[in-house]
Amino acid sequence: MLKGHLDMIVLAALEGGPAHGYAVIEVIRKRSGGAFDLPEGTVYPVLHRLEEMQLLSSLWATSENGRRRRVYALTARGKKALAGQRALWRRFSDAVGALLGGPRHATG
Amino acid sequence: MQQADPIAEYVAVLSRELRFDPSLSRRVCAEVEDHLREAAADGAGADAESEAVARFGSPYAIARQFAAPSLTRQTKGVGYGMVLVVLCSYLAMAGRLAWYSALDWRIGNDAPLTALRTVTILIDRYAFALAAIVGLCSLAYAWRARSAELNATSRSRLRRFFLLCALATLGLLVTVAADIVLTALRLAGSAPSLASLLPLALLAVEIALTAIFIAHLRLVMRRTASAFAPFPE
Repeated sequence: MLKGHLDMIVLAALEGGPAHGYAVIEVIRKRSGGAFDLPEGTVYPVLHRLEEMQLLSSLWATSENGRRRRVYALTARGKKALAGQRALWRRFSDAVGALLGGPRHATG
Repeated sequence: MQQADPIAEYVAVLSRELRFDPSLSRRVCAEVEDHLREAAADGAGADAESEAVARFGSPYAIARQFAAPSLTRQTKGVGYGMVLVVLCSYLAMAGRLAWYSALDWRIGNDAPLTALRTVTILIDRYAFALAAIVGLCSLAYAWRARSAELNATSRSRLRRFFLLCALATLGLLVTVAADIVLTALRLAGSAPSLASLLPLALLAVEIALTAIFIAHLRLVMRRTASAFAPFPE
């Protein structure tokens, strides 16, 4: 199930600002409370695919310890895609919640 | 036995598995190595590097996820290359004919040569039409047959694409051979002059572009075969 939503999850992880692959994984792990503990390598094909779809941009930067790293950032198109996916997910989540009799998602 | 550098070992395996796209391989390996070194630095203990590698996942599975989009890009490139070579061949043929016409360069009426010329022109036309039509079909197929992952379906689609390319390439090769014969017939009947240089140069461009295209097609076919190589046990 998680695999089908990886694009949205990675876009959401980059919403806070540009980050490299390792930081993206850390954000996903922390914000999901450890629930999404993916094999770390799975994030790179997603980052590359989203960049090819022009939802992300990337550039090489030099870290504090002198290592070169690829830093990814949301593009305007990526922000729009994330907003669309978020709205869709909320509708889906509310509908499934209502169907299963669970608590409704706050849309506030 | 403990590996000397599990991260370097992992990156080497990943690089080998990404050999279907050398520029992608360089970029991904640089990113992955940075990731693993940082993960190992954040870890604790003597096995931090091995643990970082274990958390990263199988290099074979990761390479496979990169393969489908990369092969789609490369096959589209082959399709565009084919159309470009066909177009350049047409321009080279049209350029030679325009040159002959501008110089009022007529050929002799030697009966056997005229018959050979007529047959060669026919072969040239049909072979060029085959290359142009099948070349356009192969480009359209490359767009239509995009796959999100490597599987039996994408394998058979790629096989069909390369079959179309091989057919179009055959048409191109016959066209080039016919053009060589036609140009030789034209030049053989006249004294060597500077005017011969332009048709020869256009013919050389046609031959070179076809040769470059065939080399590129073979390279992409080899890369595709390597992407479908089975995982080691």
